[in-house]
This record gives sequence, C-alpha cells and structure tokens, in this order.
Amino acid sequence: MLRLIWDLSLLLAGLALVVIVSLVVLRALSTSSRNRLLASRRRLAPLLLDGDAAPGRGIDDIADSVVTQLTLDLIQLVRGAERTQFILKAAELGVPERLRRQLRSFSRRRRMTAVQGLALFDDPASRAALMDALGDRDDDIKLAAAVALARGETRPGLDELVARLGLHDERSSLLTISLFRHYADYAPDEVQELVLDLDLPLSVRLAAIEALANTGDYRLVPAIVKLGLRAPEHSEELPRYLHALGRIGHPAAREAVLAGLASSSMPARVAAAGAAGRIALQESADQLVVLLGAPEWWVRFRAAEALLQLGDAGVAHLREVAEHGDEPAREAATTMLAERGIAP
Amino acid sequence: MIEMPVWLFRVAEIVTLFVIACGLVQILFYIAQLIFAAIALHRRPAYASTSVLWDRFADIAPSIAIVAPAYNEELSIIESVEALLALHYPDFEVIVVNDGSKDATLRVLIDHYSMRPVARYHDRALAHQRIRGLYAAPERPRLFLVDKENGGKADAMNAGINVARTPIVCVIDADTLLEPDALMRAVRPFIEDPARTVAVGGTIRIANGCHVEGGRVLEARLPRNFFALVQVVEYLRAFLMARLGLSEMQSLMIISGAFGLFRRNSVIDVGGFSADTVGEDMELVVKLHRRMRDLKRPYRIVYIPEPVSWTEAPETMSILGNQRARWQRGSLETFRTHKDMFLNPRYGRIGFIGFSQVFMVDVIGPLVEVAGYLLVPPLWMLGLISLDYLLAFLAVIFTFGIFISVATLILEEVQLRRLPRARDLAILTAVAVLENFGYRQLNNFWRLRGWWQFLRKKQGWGHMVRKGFQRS
Repeated sequence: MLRLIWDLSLLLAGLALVVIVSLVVLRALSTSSRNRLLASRRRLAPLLLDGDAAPGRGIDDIADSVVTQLTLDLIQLVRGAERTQFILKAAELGVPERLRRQLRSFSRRRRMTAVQGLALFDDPASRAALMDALGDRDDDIKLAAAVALARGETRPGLDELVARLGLHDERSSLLTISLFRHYADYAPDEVQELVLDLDLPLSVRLAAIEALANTGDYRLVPAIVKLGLRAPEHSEELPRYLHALGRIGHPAAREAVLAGLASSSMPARVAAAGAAGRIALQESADQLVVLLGAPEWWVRFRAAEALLQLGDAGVAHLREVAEHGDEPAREAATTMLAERGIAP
Repeated sequence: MIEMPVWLFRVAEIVTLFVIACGLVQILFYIAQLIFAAIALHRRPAYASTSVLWDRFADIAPSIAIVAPAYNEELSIIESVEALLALHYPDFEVIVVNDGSKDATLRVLIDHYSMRPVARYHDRALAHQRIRGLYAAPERPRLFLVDKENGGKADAMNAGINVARTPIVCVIDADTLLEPDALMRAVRPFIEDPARTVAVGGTIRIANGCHVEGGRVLEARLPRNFFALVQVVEYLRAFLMARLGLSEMQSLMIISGAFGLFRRNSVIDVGGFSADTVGEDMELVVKLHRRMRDLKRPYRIVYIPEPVSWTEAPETMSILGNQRARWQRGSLETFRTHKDMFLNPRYGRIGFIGFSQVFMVDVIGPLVEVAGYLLVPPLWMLGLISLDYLLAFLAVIFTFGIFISVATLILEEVQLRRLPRARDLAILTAVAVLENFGYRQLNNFWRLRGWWQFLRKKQGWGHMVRKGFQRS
C-alpha cells in the first residue's frame, strides 16, 4: 500500500513535469511559427491593398493559410466596391477552393471558419459546398451555412433549408429568427407557408411569425389574430403572437389585442399593451387605464407607454389618473408624464 | 514509546480514515470537474473573431443594462465608465449606481458628463436604500446614474436592476475591466436558448501587472507580486476547471458578482441580491436554482469561458486574508440559508452535486485540512500513526494539487491560449508547486477565520484598499 501511494505521487509529479515541459516547448515553437506568419502577413497586406488585380508574383513563399486569412480579414473590414474588389482578388488567389477543402477538416473551428469565409463568395461551387455543410455534424456549422446561403443571391427553398437543418426541436433560438428574416425580406410567401404548416414545431412557426412581423407584412395579420385568440392563456406563444401583431402595427389586430389586455397572463398583458400603443388602438384606452394599476411594474410601464402613444387622448387619460387616481397607477402616470416632459 | 489505550488507537484510526475519505471525495470531485471542463471546452462553439460574432448576433442581440455599483471611486470612475460606454454591443445601457459614496464620485460623474436630474419610472420590486436622485447625460444617451443612500454592493445592484428596463442585466464591479467583446460573447446562451437561459457567468482574470490604458487591458502580463501570482493560478483552477466543469454538469453554484448576466425578471422573481450576506452572488444563483426547480421549469445557468473581464487582486496578506475569510463566510451563509436543498432529491443534481461540492470543499474542506495539520504531529508523536504513511499521503496530496493546476494549464493552453508567453506557463507551474508550501496552509487559516466570523455572526465586507491598475 505504502509503495503504491508513493508510486502514485511520483507518477502525478512526473506526468505534470513532462506535460508542462512539452507545453512550454510547443508554445515556444508555435510562437516562432506565429512570428513568421505575422511577418508574411505584413509583407502580403500592401500587395493585396495595391492595384486592382491580385498580386501574381512575390507571394509564392507565403503560406496558403496566411493568404486565405488575410484576404478574409480585409473583406470583412470594407464595404461596397472595395469589398467586391477584395472578393475578386481572393477568388483569383484560390481562396474559395481552399475554404471548400477546409470544410472537410476534422477541426470544428476550421470548418466554421470555412463556412463563414465561403459566405462571402456567391459562386455556384461555394453555394454547393455550403449546401453540403448543411449536413455537417455540428449544429452551429449547419446554421452558419444556412445563414450564409440565405444571404446569397440564389437561395435554396426555405422548406428545403428547414428540412436539412432538422429544426424539429421545440427549443427556440434567436438565430432561427435571424435566418428566417433573410427570407422574409425576399420570399415572404415561403416564410408564411412555415407559419401555416401545422406539422412544424411551434418554435419554428413562432420564429417565422417574428421574422415576418419585422417586415410589417399585413397579410399575416388575420392568421396571427386567429392563433392569438386560440392560444392558451398562460402559454409561451400568446405574448409572442401579440408582440408580432404590435410589430406589424395593423388595426386588424384589434380583437386579439383587446383580448390580450384582459388576459390573466402578465407577459400577455405586457405584449398586448405594447401592441395597443404601436397600433394606436384608441378603444384600448380604458383597458390601458385599468392596467396602470396592475400589480406588475412591466404591465404598468407598458400601459403608460401605450397611452402616451395614443396621443392627446392617451395623455388626457394619464393626466386624469395623475390627478385623481390611486397608487400605483398615479405614480405610473405622473412619472411617465414627467419623463416625457409633459406637464401633469 | 508511550503505551496508549486501545480505544485511542481506534479514535486515531477513525479520524485518519475520515480525513483520507474527505480527501478522496474531493479528489474525485476535482477529477470529474476536469473531465467535464475538457468536454465543455471541446464542445464550445467555434466563433473566432468579434466581427463574425457581430455579423451573426448584432440584429438579434437582446438589449442589456450594465449595472455598475460605485462606492468611493472618484479617481477611476470616469475611466471605468468610458471603457463601459465603448463596449462592442449593439444595444446596451450603463447604469452607474453611486452607493452613497463619501468622496466626490457623484460630482465627478455629473460634471464630466454634464448630467441632469431626470424622472424615470422604475420598478420597486427589489428592496434597497432610498434613491436620492436619477441623472441622465443628454450627450451620452447610453449612460444613466442612480444616486442612492449607502447600503452595500447587493443593495446598489438591486437599485440598478429596479431602474433597468432591459430583459437582461449585467452586473459588474465598478472597477471591473470588461474586454470590448465580453458582452457579445457572454450573451450567446441567451441567443441560442432564450427561453431557458436564466444566468450566464464569464471569466474573471487578474489584471495586476497588466498594461492597462483607458480602462482596457492592452497587454496581458503576469503580476510580479507572489500573492497576485498565486491568485492567477487559483482563478484559472476556479474558472476553467471548477465553474466550467460544474456548468457542464448543470450544477453551477456561483456566478461572480464581478461579471455576470442575468435575466432581469428571474432576478426580480427571487427577490434580487440578498443584502444580509457577504456571499450575495452565490446566494442569488442558489435562489434561482431553487425557484426554477420548485416551479419544475427547464432552465440553464451556465458559465462560458470566452467572455473575459479583469479585476485587481489583493497583493497583501491582510487584504487577501480578509477577502478569503469573507468568501468563506459567504459560502457558509448560503449553505446555512439553503441547507434543506442539500442531498434533497427535489433539487436533483443541484442538491446532490452542487451542494455536495459546496459541503466538501467550502464547508468542511478547511476544517478537515486544518484538523489534519493539527492532529497528525501529536498522533505521530504518540505513535498512533506511521511516519511513512504520513509522508506518503502528504506527497500524494501535494502532487495531486500540482497535477490539477497543470491540467488546468493544459486546458488553457490547448483550448484558449490566453497566456502571452511560453515562460508564463513555466512560471505558473512553479507557482502551482510553491503554493503548497505555506500559501495553502495560510489560505486554510484564513478560511478558518471565515468560519469563526460566521459562527460569531459577523456582518460586513471589511476594508479593501485598492492599489489601482498600472496605467500609462
């Protein structure tokens, strides 16, 4: 036993020593290699920045990885015509081909870099590579490839993208909304189809609604109103429907918003008050005044905000509450008026 | 050799076995944390540059209010606020809470930013000392100032959270230096899993010795002071091994008050930071666990290593000792307040893994280690334990401690590579060896002092004298 304990100590100490010496040596080597790469970058940068064409000579001894990384960095730094010029230079230097090869790397980080780089090149070969990346084993890379494809001039169908991404999880990610927003601007019908496809998970349909709401497309209002009126009182989706109706800002949302203001769910009332203000729904004023006395601060705050958004009629209600109302409604009305510089 | 009664041998045997068992359980905890930390680092998403993060997150990133409590910070407050206002994040507000400073912190802020008293309708859900005034800067719309009566850090953070109007609040210390992309990196879990994420902690590193300018760490360097150097090793272990490992096990028990992001509504639901404990950051996280488990809601409280903030570490024995005693007291207070969660099946892995870790490491850890140091010599002199075994066990404890530190350095070097020079690795390894001879025992003594203060129900934070960052 005693021997075993000593052996264990020696093993741990020896292991620690060997590992740390290896780390120090490897770090020293990598620092030296990094310095060489930095020197190459410094030499390559002016060559890339000069002239309209890619540097033909004098860069043969510069590592491909340096050429790839530096061109990508330069593309990220600029916009407009300069960016287009750098993209053409990068294509001449074979950067897209190298990135496509990099997509087969074992390292997740390298594959992600490749996807993010390929997103800048909207050519058929790069798009095909990004389509392949939709089958990557890593969810982040799949989503990054989808966003890259969605930003391109020639997008795959959204239904195909959703199927390839395997968005079957009930968990929602804001990145899904971001992806759908790219489609909502150019192909709102495809996003609308997702909203109405009852076979899709609720999280995907909600993300589609939020993406569409951002565009202010009125066509979806009747469908969202119907969904909002049917949604269970304390469900997660009800406030999101109301929020989307507020974003769209169409008076046809009236029925759902008024119902939301009377909801027993706090998030639903908050979202409904926000929507009532954005739509400037005058007939919600009385309900908003009632909400000024709600026990939850967020409800009172959004109700006061909404009344201010209703214009003179709303301000008159706030003044009335500020003068004659009970706490906490009075404080909400008084402070919100003062905050906006309106005399009580 | 003195003849001893048989029962004394039996007692010595039991004590020795208990100390060994505790040591073994701790070792198992550490090994598990290391393994899970390695898994977490391997699995972390491959977002390399800030520009890529911005590209992906900028249009969907939720708005954040940074709550920075300030107490007697007149010399550094402008530099800190400037650094906060220059953070790379699309939508954020900086709420500085002047916690009844006795110096000119308030005046300096008002004068420098031409701030004016304003009305702002705010929540009153969290209790705190009276707010004396609210100020806004017309030329710096992201900046907001709350002037309140002194009530301590927890009290000030509660006031800031009440005033915030964003879904997420970021709590920091007034002297915390955030990396420009820290918010952008820390918000990732809220973007990827917005429904379940409740709180996110980031990495805190030691700024002593670094080249700091304009509230930014321009060049990371190791400190020259031995105590600060030891703390670099300790922070690496605490964050890269313990917090990352526990986070991967979904049993994270603390998010440092020096840098953490919280869902505002969740913090309000649990009553905010408790002002009656010095471990308010740990206590808040435990309260969040308790509430979410009680409600049986799926949730995530995570630590991610990429977002980095820098803090000044104590460099003298007396200040470091006070800090460690206070941390010990904070852990004990939290354990006492929530002891019903310990090994309670209702709280799942929080009750079994999280609380067991707190119990083994924070509650009985220092007692057992100091008991070992105190009991072993008399037991050996009385011939109740063997010198050979004693030395062997001491060797294995020390070498295991060194091994753990080196393993953390491997994780740091392979996955994050944030130490600037190769020799830093060698220096930190040497420190990991040296800390076992003197510092480790001293630290246990400080923690015992924390135990004593806890038993005597001592309140308050004590005095922290800051040397200030090395600015050019």
